Amino acid sequence: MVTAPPLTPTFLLGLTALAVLTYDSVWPDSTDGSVLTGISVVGSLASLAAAGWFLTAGTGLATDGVSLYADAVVVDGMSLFFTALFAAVTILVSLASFDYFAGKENQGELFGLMLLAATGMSLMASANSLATAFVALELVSLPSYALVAFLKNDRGSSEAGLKYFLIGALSSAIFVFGVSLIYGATGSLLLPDVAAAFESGLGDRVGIAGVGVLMVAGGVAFKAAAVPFHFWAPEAYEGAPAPVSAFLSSASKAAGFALAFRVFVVGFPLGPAASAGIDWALLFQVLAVATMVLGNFAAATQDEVKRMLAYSSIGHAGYVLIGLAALSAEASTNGDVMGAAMAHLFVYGFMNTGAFLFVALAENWGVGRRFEDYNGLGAEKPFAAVAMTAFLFSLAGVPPLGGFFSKLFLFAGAVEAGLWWLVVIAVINSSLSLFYYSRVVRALWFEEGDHDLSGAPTALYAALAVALIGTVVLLPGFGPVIETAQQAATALFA
Amino acid sequence: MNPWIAIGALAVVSVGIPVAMMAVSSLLRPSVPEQGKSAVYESGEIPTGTTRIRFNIQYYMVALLFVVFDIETVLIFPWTVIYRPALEGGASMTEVLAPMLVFIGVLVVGLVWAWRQGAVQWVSSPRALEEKTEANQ
Amino acid sequence: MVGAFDYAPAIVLLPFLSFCLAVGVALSGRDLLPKGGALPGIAATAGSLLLSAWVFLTVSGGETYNETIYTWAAGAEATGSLSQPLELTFGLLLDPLSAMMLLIVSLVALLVHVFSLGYMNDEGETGLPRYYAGLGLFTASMLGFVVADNLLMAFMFFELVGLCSYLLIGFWFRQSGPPSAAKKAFLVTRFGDYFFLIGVVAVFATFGTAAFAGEESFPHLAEQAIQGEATVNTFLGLEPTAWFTVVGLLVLGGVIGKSAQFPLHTWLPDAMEGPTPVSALIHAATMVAAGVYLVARMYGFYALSPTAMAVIALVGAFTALFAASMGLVKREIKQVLAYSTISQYGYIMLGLGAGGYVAGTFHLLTHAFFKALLFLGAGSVIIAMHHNEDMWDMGGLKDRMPVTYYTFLAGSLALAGIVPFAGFWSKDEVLYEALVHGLGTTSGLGTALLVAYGMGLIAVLFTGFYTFRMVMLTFHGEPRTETAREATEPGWNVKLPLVVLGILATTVGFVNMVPVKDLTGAEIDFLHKWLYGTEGAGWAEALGTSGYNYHHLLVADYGAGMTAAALPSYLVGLLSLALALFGAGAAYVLYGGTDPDPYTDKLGVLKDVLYNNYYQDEYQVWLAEGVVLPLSKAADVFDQAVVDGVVNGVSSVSLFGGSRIKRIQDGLVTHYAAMLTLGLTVLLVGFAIYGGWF
Repeated sequence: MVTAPPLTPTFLLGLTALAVLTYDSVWPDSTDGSVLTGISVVGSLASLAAAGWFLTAGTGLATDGVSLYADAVVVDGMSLFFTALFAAVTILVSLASFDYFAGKENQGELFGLMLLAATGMSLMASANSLATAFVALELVSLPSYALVAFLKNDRGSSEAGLKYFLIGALSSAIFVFGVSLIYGATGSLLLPDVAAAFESGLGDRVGIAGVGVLMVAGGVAFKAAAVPFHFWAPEAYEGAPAPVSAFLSSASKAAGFALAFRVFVVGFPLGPAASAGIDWALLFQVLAVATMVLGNFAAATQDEVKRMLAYSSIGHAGYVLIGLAALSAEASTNGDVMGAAMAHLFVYGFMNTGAFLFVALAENWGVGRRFEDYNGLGAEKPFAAVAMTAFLFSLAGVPPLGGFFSKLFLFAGAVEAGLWWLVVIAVINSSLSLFYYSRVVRALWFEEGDHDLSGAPTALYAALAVALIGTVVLLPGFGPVIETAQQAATALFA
Repeated sequence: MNPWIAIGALAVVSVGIPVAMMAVSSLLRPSVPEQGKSAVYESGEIPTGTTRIRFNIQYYMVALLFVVFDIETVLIFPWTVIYRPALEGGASMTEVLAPMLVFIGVLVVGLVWAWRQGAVQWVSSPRALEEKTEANQ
Repeated sequence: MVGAFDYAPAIVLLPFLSFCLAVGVALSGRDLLPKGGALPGIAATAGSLLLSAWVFLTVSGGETYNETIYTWAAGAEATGSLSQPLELTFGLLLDPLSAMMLLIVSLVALLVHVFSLGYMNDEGETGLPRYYAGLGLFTASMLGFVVADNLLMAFMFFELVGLCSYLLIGFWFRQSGPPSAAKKAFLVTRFGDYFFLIGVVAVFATFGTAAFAGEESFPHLAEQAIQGEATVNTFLGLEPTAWFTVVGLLVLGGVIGKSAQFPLHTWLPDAMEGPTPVSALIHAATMVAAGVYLVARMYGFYALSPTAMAVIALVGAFTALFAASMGLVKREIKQVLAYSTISQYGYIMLGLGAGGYVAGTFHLLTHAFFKALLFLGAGSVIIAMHHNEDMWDMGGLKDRMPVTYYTFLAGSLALAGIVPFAGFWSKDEVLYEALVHGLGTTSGLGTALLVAYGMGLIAVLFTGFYTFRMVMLTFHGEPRTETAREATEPGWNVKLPLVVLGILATTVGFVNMVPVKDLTGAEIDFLHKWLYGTEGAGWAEALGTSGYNYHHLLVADYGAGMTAAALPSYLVGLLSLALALFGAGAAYVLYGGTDPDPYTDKLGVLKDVLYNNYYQDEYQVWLAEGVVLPLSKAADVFDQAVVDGVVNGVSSVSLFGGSRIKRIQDGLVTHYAAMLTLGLTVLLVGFAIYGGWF
């Protein structure tokens, strides 16, 4: 009997990328993106379905995990959970791209790069070795640079791409240097072996390992857009085409966290690490506070919606970092709080993508980028405005939307872990975020505006609707999500 | 004694020597500014134009494709070395051959795509063409 | 096998469907439905009625249903000394009480829908889809309330019902009266509902469940807790019995608001601003019944607390008397009916509080029919009088509107409690229960019940008087205005509901003729048997909502501790019948002539007091304006100065901080790289020193 290989969801994303490239090789000059969109959506759907199937059908992957390729890759509940998230975001972004890039050249490259990046993300979530992690990281990063600069005649887009690339190169260098130091200190790149070395004592190599751990943290902080590796994010998100911003700020960020969760929990067990003086939970506490304070405070004073969303996305990275910051050695709450962080990323995948897609829609309509330019859109395009309102309130964590529950679980988990001061800061930030999100809502509904809008692009609307369903359905459906996430996270600590 | 002190000392010395040399020479040498001294060295030729000129993107394309095949070679080479011993050691043909075929297959898809996108098509530069026709006249 | 219980959710969903349909049509702005949406409403309520009848028959066969259908939130672990974690659920409880109520609600709703064809459609009202949407949603919510198997679900539907009442009272929102009446109804009932909500939370906190029936229900747990067989959380350092009394009284807040009991009755007379069919359905037969139904539903809980029982009985009896006295002087026909409604619900409360579970429920049943009948009859009169409701402008309508007259008369006889009409049997049973338990019980509860009985008895006299004053002024004598002279009877859609209800008002009392049983020994107390079930077997044992169980609790020394004195019921019945006849006769004598005098004017100051409802509205307005408003203003000052000051301070600090942070991001990628490296270095140095790496 033929059984599906455990990496099927990842393979499917990669094969879809190849299919897109093949199609583009046959008709390289076509500017009609419908077939490309179709291939991308179908492929991502297949990957999502495979991941969902593996997660739910009791294939044994969800709980135990399977190591492959001499332990370089592991497929378990967490990797499948994140792969499902990446595939879902890819579907949304592909749909939106159909309208956003309609009539533009080189659409094959766009979809191909996006799918390759998604493949890399999925691999990042499965990486069980620092080498795999680095290769996967680069497989995500390199297409992302090109995607940000995709509108090559647009100065903003090119500038953003270049900045992203430069900061990215620096961060990659830091990451790979960190990996080399870890290798030097422990003698292995495989996470379980690294962990074994930590547990058997590092001796006088603690310093090397410590610098290595910190630099690896820097590498994932770059992907997650956390302070102080966040500088690229506002520029890249603002300059990039809006669907790409959505992709980067949702999926790419989640990929960074997926890697961080596995590398730190599996590779650098907190107990021995902390007793050796490498207390990375404290590091993430510092980063979480700095990230959410900076992200939310900067977002409060922005003039442009997209840039505000970019900073808010930094702020959310701060919330998710709580999932790492609230860990402690041998605590029973570890699985819960990290699972809550994963669930928050999942909900965030829908609501944040949705918010950026609304920006894409606005760009497609040709209304401006500032808050005032959105005045009165609610009256003219009620559905889209309702969806945007739901996304924003969900991002702010207003009950009863999906974002409320994920934040609630996350904060509750942190309080249980004893980090109430961190939660106080997070809640203050959260309420500040309601201020700047509601500025958009006010512009949409309560201000008068005059626009000449060119209809409702079908695919973008469909993507918006799917994201809305994701945000709203995750309210009754939140139970399964948080259970899966916490189960997957707990399995990591076993 | 902490071994890091030695490294620190080495760092201090390695920064100190070049700085000291430059400082000493700038104190000692006479200063005679002259245009020829600040000109770009082009093997005795007098340079025309600035150094900041645009290279044709095609150089990059070829270089990128080269890198792809370079890496391919690096990976194929060890594979060829273990191919026969692996077969003799009892591995099946598919086990040994399939991964490489998949790998090359992926590269081929990429190559075909790049080819069809015009990566290896040498676009003629309008300026070069113009100069050529002028020379022929 | 698929039985009636499998279709039971459809009883609630059918009217909801008609609501959705009507809302959809109303939103489309086009007149898509024939009769403005009445027909789907009639079809849906007829369907509900059929299903209710089926459920009723099934329940008669001894089957009951108590199942959770959907759990929408479940707790992870138990709190305090509870054994089960909290669960918030939706479910159905179909026992004799709810089956009977289902039948009442769906029947009255159907008849009111039919009547509305005459009252609203034929009168050319606009906004009919909105009207029928309101009726549909109301019917659905009320039915949902009736079948609720737990207190929280009941609370939710309770609130929905209140919302519908608000929407329908304010149906004519372009006039000045209805919107403010709607607001008043909403606010006053909401005041009671605050207590109810706290009560719901208290029940959850105490028992961890809010189920009405079964082994794991809160009345059962309360009983066990008092006997020391189960542990529950109590608060404020109270003993279980005292704490249960507090919880019961909190829930009673909602009951008093919704069933218009003193002192929260003031909204109901104003609610008559709504269309008359709405008054009949909502403010007489069903919604107002929701309050007392709730008491009956969780009777096992109240029966444990003598204090709560005494409060229920006293509030009920006082309301019965108090409202009846105000009904004596009203000029408008619907006002009289409104006060009589308040008064009659007082009787039901009295019955329940006096340990007469069957008596209270019985009066609930009969009152639903005869009061709906009276309101619909009044509606018919109002149509004929071109929406003039002043009884002094009527007179002599009995010859012009015979169907209306005879059915209205049947309803009036029932209301006044004249044998053999429905109200006689039920009201007498209420009074009988109050008397026997009052005489038999030696504790303070007995005294309270005797006082309550006295007030109830006087109210009988008043009831007879104001009822026949109304009948005489409206239908007898000579027409006093031109409109009354030319009044004609409306069409079949008005007469049909009147006739159906007229027959019911005459006969429904026969289901429980206790005095006749006592006299003859014939076993004809059907309702009694229906609600009691078989002791120690079947549903009575499984659900714990049977009359046997309640009786057991009432007489138990850990419960209310009541004892019934031995008195023949027919003697007690004769006394109240005599009083009712005396009241009715007095009205006939005073107002029975061809041209009656306005005798009420001779009452002088007393009339003013009565006519102004004892200045209830005035003191409540004074409470709102003189006490609450200054407090709110003080709170507002505090909010503006202190809270807002802090908030504004925080926000300006954050905005300032934000603009500083914004400046870091200056757009130069070299700066970014430098700051990134610097940040990493700071972290490295910091952690290296903290961790002592070197």
